[in-house]
Amino acid sequence: MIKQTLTPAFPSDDKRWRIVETAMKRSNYQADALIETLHAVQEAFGFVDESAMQFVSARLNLPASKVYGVATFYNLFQMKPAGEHTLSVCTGTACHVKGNDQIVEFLREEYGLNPGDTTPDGKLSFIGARCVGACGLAPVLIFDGKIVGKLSVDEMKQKIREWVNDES
Amino acid sequence: MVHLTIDGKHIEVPEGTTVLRAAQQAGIHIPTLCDHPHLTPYGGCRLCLVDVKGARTLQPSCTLPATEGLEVTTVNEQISDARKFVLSMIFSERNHFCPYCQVSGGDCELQNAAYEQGMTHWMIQPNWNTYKVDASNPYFSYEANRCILCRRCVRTCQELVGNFTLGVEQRGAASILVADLGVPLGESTCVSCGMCVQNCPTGAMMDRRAAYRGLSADAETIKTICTGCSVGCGIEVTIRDNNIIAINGDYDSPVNQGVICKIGRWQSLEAMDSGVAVKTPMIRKNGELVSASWEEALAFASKAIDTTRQSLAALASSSLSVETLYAFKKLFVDGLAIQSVSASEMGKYTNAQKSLAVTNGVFEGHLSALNNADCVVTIGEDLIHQHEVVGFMIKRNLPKGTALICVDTDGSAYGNLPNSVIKINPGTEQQLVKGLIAGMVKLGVKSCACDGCKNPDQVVQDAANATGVESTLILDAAYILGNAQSPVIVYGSTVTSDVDASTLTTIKCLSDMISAEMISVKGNANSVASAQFGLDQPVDMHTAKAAVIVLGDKQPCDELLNAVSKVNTKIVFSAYQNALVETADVVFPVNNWAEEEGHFINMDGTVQKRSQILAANGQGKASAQAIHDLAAQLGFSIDDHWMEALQSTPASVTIA
Repeated sequence: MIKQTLTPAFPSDDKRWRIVETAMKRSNYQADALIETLHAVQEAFGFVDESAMQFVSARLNLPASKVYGVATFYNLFQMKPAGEHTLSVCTGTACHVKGNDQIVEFLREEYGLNPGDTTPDGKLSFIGARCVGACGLAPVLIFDGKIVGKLSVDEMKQKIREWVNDES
Repeated sequence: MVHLTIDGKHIEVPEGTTVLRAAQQAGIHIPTLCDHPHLTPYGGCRLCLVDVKGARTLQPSCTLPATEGLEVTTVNEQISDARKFVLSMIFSERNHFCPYCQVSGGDCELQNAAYEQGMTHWMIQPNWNTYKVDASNPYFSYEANRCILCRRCVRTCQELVGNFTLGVEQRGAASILVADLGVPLGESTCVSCGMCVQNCPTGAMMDRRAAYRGLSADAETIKTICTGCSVGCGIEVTIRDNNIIAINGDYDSPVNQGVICKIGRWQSLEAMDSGVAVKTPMIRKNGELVSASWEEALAFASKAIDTTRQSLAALASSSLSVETLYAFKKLFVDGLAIQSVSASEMGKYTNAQKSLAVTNGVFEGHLSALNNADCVVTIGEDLIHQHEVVGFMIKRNLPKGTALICVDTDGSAYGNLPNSVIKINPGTEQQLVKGLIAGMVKLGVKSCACDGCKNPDQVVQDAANATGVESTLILDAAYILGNAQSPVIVYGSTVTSDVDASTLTTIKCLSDMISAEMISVKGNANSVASAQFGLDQPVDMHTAKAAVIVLGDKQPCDELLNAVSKVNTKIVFSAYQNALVETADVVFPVNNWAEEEGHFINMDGTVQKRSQILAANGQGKASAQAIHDLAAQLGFSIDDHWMEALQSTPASVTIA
């Protein structure tokens, strides 16, 4: 097989790049493994930043614009480091109707967060999720991957305050 | 072949043809926005919806392959309503308020489509979000508010130019065009070829020089060729009131198939815009250049030439037309029998090919071979910065699996594109090629009976030692090359400058072994013609007492200025004022590239005619005419049998 003679160096000494490299190697550096590779970056680092995209682009021999396009297309890929804790708020139709619109407003007023933002102290990230497929539990909040549903707006606010204060 | 019916018309098309193309071939008009005849179908705008008998919904004709017995209707009320709805959505997605836009009034495909569909308004609330204008590129700007996300520019950048700079970020209504990792265009990997501007259906991509200078309805378009370098790309020049508005690539040209680079599109105009024309002939009197008539100047020049004939040197730019170079050769070589006559390149790009052609005849192929190549080797030429269009023709095929092997002293210019960059020590091209040949023999993919290949291991090892390249890398490259079905070898000045053609002979040996096409990129627009006329000898200007220099519309390089700094009498033919004109003793005004016609032989031997685009102003004459006049003054007459003269010496390319 054709040997790629241009092997880009890892962006830093961080050992987690080896995880990313392994993920790419598993697919024999095929260009169509881009999404899996970005998943590997996201899992290893928690976010996909510019240096990561540059590295992946060079390693898979893909245009930088393609990598950037795919990384921005999917909501899951974060471009910035997430906070210590992540709160996903479902903004799908059912959850919106059941009061998550008020939760979005509450987060903006109480913590100054818009979807995609992290508090300046790096404690809390707020992600606006599309429908998570649990409409029966509406309204749905996800605290660090744990789904909480079927609460009233006041209960949810209470829960957020409790959760944020508890953990911080 | 498949048979289908469109609007009751029976049509036969080859398998794989889309319904849209079939309709176009049959003369049936279907409106489109995202489709472009030279790009792959995308199916993004949904304007080309048609009714297919038996289909549940309307189908986009641009992505629908024609199948046997298909019955298609392109006009009915349902289709018309659907198209209007599609246009309404496109109009409401961004700020499409036409009066401000430079293409409004006939050059906007979106506006034209709306008029065609009879749109008077759109019923959907427009999105009032504004996007920033990216004006960071010196030649064009991107106005995202006018973008309809048809992705023609993205496909152009990938499929025609092979630069892969443009992409789309986000999704849905938030989608926006980006360069690389979302950087401004001016800081991106964009090479400013402007093909995206040429193909943009709306005013989103704005040619900064051409904008608001006139719509195509007010202007005339003339097909001609670009003479910026030896590729000889076909161009379409839009002119209005004896001014050039814009230059676009000519999709009908067999040489470049529509793609041009920033030199052809913008820099040739920049030179014209910034150049100060020499208006009249000038003679140096009492240390100062003063205007004179053509008669006075010709008399002065012929006297100077007559008195200094023994130590005269003559140099012509190899960017001049064949007619001019022929007249120049006839006058100075045949007529005045002067020894030191050459063209500006002095054979740097043609010496080796010319030597080899004496024994081998024509051995170089056409540029079009690159379109079907499955492996391209470039030796000693940076096709990213020089002869960019050849680079585009190579790079755009890389996603299809074409292997690229770059042999260079500095391979970094190619970024992460090539399969293999072989960075060699300067001057070791020949050893490397020998290594590749022996590598193929060693790996058993090709055989060779020559003495050099008896001990391939040793040759590969020697090559590795000489070039500073690891032998495994040479073997990898040899493996790719040996297994290629239609390889092409492109080589440049480090190979071609050498008169005894030793490196080129080795490359020829490699090429014979793998049946590769050979292409050398040459230098200026008329490198081949200069060489065929024998204007390729080295000339030492330092020892000359007088010099005749025909610059045409080119600027003198520092090397030339240094070389002639000690020459007493300088006779210069120039279109523009420059450092050489300032020190000249006689100056003849000649026309620039747009003002004179002439023939050019490109790098693969194609003879093309450049048309006159603009009427000449002032007293400038065509370069060929100016030399004819000087010859007449000296008592010579010049014929116009340049084609015979071109073909009288063996050439490496077929001149036709």
